[in-house]
Amino acid sequence: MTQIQPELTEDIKKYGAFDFTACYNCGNCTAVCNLTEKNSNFPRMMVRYSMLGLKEEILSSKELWMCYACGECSDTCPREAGPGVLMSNLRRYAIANYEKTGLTRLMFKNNPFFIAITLILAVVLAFFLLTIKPDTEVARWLFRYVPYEVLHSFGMGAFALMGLSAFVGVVVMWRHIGKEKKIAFTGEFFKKAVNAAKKVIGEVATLKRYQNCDSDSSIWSKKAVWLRPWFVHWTIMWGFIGLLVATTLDFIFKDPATTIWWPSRILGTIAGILMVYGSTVALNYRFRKITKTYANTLMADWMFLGFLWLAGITGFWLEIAVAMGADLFINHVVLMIHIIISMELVILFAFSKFAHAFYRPLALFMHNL
Amino acid sequence: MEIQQETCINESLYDVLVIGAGIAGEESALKLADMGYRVLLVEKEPSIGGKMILLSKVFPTLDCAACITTPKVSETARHPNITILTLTEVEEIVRDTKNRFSVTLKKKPRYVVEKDCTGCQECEKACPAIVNDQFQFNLTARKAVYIPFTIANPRVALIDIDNCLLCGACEKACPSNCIDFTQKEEQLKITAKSVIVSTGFKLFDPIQIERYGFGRYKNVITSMQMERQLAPTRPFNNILRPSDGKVPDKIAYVFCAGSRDHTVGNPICSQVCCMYSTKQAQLLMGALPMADVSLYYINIRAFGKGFDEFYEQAKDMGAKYVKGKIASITEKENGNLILRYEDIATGKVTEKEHDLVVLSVGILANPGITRVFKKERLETDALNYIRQTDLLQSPAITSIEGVFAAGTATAPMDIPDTIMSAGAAATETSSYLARLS
Repeated sequence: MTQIQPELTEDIKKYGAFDFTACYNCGNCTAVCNLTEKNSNFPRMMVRYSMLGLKEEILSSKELWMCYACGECSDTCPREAGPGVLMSNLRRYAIANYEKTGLTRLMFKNNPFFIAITLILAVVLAFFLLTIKPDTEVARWLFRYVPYEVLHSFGMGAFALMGLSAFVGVVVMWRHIGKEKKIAFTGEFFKKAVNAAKKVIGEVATLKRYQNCDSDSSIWSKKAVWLRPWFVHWTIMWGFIGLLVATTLDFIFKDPATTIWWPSRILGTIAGILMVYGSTVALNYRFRKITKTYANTLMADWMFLGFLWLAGITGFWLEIAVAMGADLFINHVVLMIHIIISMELVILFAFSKFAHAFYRPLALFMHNL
Repeated sequence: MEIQQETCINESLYDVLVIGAGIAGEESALKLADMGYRVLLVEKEPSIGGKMILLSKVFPTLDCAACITTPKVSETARHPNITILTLTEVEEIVRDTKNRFSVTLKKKPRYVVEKDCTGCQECEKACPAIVNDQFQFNLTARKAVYIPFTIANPRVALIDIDNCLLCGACEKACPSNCIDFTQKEEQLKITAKSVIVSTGFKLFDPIQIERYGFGRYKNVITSMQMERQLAPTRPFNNILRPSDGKVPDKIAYVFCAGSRDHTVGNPICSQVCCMYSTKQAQLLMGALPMADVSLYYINIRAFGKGFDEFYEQAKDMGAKYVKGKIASITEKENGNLILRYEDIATGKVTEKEHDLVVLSVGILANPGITRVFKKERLETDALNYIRQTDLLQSPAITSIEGVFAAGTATAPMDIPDTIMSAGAAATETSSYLARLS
């Protein structure tokens, strides 16, 4: 049964303030979009859902994740109702609703809370880092009361909670969209799933649909490829994945490789360059507010991009410091920051904007089923 | 007429100065002149008549626009109490100590002695300089010496000196010897007891909406260009699309081109586009019985007397109304155009091919006149229309005492509303003049 909840409009607005209720249903947004397909028409549909408060329809919309926020719909909207901004808004809303602990909801709606939780996490992480060496002052004081193993398992617990939340989120999303799409696990399913997975991998590798966003009328068509949003996104995404692989390799071989020619270090360097480039350009666009999309930057965006950028910059600092063999106090501080930032990114993975990294491919997968 | 004009200028005291000789200005001037007031009617164009005189027919009655407006134009032109100055702009209006307005006018040279010209058009034939005809909205060309349009009033030639080659061919061809290159810009000073501002509106220039390709795609035209093709004094005697002169058979209307659109700075409804497009659709279906006419709209605003019936009539005749704003237009190699929109009825993005696209362009304010008022400020509203300071008392009252506003200078409106507004301005002016004496 469809239930109309007009009060939901106000709740949705809390995920980023603007007036989508100005919409007069002309359909301009849907038609200027290069990514709308025969069986997926957005953003006007999402505007209607939001105005009527059709929560179930919003949460079961794979269309939310078909959009890459090029912002052309917002730029050309005759009512300045910001349909593209609403799409980003609803993605935040969906992430907050798929994630069942309520932490994401609080962080997205409440900036002071977001900052507070980031800072508290940083302090806790710093504390952990200072206690890793059992002969420090802090450690000696602490271990008198709490055994090292307990602290260690707290950390593990945090990771487990993140993993569980991500898993629950995926299941919840699957159930919402699956009900809408009426996905049945028949013999056909496996074949379709392989096909859909291929398409998703292809999209992740090339961002082919995202490339369609640079329409002739957008400002991007006149800019060089390496300045276009899809490429910037590609560098951040593959930079991060590359760094993740490099770090894992380092971890497996138990050697934060001192030589820069070590294969995992070469991978790390290249990936780092990509990520720092991408996040620098993206932050620059957001500071300069070059389109309506970039002008509408919320705390979640600043935090996510800022953390990626900081992690990349501190990583390079350390690489240079290690190569030069400089054992300075400042380098230890940078190492500390680097680890805290990286850990925060991982721990908040399921609770932040970062969560789109698994929701979006899943939605694309289901769309192609 | 000319004799009377000269005496009046010499006397230089008028009861009313009417700025702008479109239908609003003419109507106000006629009403006041009939009451016995002496009126000076100033027009910056070479002919009076404004925009209505260029239209094909009027909605919802489908009366011929020229047939309705030309009697009014002639009556205005030969009324003993009305003095007309064409090619004249107001430079300055200041209230003097006797509660009158000192007015400075700038009369541009016509380079043709108005009273001697017979309108024979021999000069036009002789002139070698060809330029776009602004009164046909660039559909055709005219000469550098020209009579503005067939039913212009006064029907006398003028020289467009910016495009003139100064070859003197017209001078030789003129049988009445009325070409005079020695004319200079004149400054006239008159006094008026009251002022009516009836400066009308500007049409939206769709070149601003890049996605519609106006100016780039030849077969995307404005509704005014279509209006000319449908008028009795039409240039081609047929409906032709610009790229190849083909008679179109799949015509699209794009509603709200420059109206109800924040991105072009005009968020309000222009009041007339729905209806004039509906009228043009009916006329097109009459002119081209085999043609399909599709009209893409956001909402149909058929609010006036007989409007909704008129809209229903168009639908019954076969006009196809599609709810959905056109998001973009792309051109094919053969000049046909692909229109992309979301069909609101089905919720699907749709692309349709048409061979001629008419942009139903909106109405914008024309606020230049506010600059001529010195010492006192003629206030405008948020969209630059003249502010009606006491709308409930009278729509004609402005922020300056003794200055009244008529017609589309105050807001977008259709012809019947303009006539009413002009009547209100005339009434308000006469009561002000009575109070003054």
